[in-house]
Amino acid sequence: MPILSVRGLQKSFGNFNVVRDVSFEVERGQKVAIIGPSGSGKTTVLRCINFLERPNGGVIEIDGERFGVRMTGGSERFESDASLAKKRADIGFVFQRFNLFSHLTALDNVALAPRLVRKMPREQALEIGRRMLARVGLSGKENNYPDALSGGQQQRVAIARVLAMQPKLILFDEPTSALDPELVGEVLAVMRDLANEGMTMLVVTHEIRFAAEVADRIIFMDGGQIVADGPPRQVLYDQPTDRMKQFLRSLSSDNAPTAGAPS
Amino acid sequence: MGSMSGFWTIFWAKLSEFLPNLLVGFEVTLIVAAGSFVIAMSLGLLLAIARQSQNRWASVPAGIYIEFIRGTPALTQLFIIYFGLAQLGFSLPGLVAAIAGLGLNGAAYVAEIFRAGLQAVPDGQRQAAISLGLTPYQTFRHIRIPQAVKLMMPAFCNYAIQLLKDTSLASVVAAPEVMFRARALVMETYLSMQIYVLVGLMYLSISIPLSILAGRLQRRTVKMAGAAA
Repeated sequence: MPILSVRGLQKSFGNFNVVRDVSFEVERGQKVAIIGPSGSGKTTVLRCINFLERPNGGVIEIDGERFGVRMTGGSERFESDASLAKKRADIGFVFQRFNLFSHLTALDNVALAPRLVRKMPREQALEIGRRMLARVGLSGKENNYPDALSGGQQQRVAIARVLAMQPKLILFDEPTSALDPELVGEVLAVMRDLANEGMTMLVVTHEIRFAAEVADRIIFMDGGQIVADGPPRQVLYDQPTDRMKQFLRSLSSDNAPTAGAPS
Repeated sequence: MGSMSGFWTIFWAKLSEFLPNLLVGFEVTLIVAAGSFVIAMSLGLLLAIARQSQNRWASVPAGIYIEFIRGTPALTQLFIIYFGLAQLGFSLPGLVAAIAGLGLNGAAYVAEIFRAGLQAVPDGQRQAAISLGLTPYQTFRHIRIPQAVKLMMPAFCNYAIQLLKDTSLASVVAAPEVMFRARALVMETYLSMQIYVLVGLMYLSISIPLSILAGRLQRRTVKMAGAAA
């Protein structure tokens, strides 16, 4: 059974259909990258998966369990906030702009959800917090507030915060797009480690080279639809569509997957 | 010049006589201020929550209350509570009417401060919290309120200054605060200038430190916002 199943997902803002009929599955332990031009709907797909945005149509299933909608007496209803919260706890979400809690230290950022959501005793939550910060290479930064950390460090704390909840699946929304170029590497390195440890990951990214190396599958989106879905080699090189070629050309040569790609 | 030096001569001569009397009144002033501050803060928070609620039965009455309070003079509200209720058979002591009136009045302003403060917390903070599985209440209690309160501190200081000055309205419903006593003293002595200047200095002894504190908090908040951007 796939850990994530998306079927016929639709989302519109006003009259604008951002996501039109998107379907795909992610198996346990798989790493899937979603790429595509800006405005193609990739971030919206990610945000619909854990109901940060309410989809207008379609089905989201996590571990075979319907997400966001409850069946009562044969009719569909939106799930209550409390019930949604319980399910969201199992899905990590890493934001483009980190969104660390600005009034809490790095350690408290990581320990808060285990304490409040998993009802862990304070000491145990802090212990997990320290372990997760060590795992992303931030031992010694426990007592720093977010504004005293670099962007790369903040994003690594954000990843540690997600790991502390032992998620079944982590959604990454352009995790390196807001970073200075010299800080991108440290975040990608942490993500690479997670991938090697078998974490299930769905990553919206512009880092094509990273996607090509780490992902089992690449989904290429354009105009709110999936245009290609397959192994990186196939999607990027073997059978690239015209739109894909155009997209790859639009990326900086520094980031492009093939040295010979004209820019 | 002669009248000016006469003013100070009398001022210093009478200070020891007036001051203890007025200080008793100023104590009542502070009690009225503190009492109504507590009411305004608690009721204000509830109003802010109700105002933002998806439930119309909460948000519409809260909105009407806030508009009514902000659209009418505090003095009118105080008279309704003191004289109006008395006519209906609920006579309240002046002190109680003053605390209740200023508290109910302040709640509308405090609600607006809370609303502005909560809106100033970036939505990414809420999104991060719910994505970790926090419930809306936990998000409110552990993420949005602590951050909003920091942003709201300068506004609360300014509100406290405003409230301190507004307690003088209590004198017209016979609450024995400092202006009430000052007026009685003036009627005995006819030394309006000396007495009211002295009262003004008493208010300043509280409002100036509060104003300095508000300024410091304001600069800190600006620094915080700058660091977050």
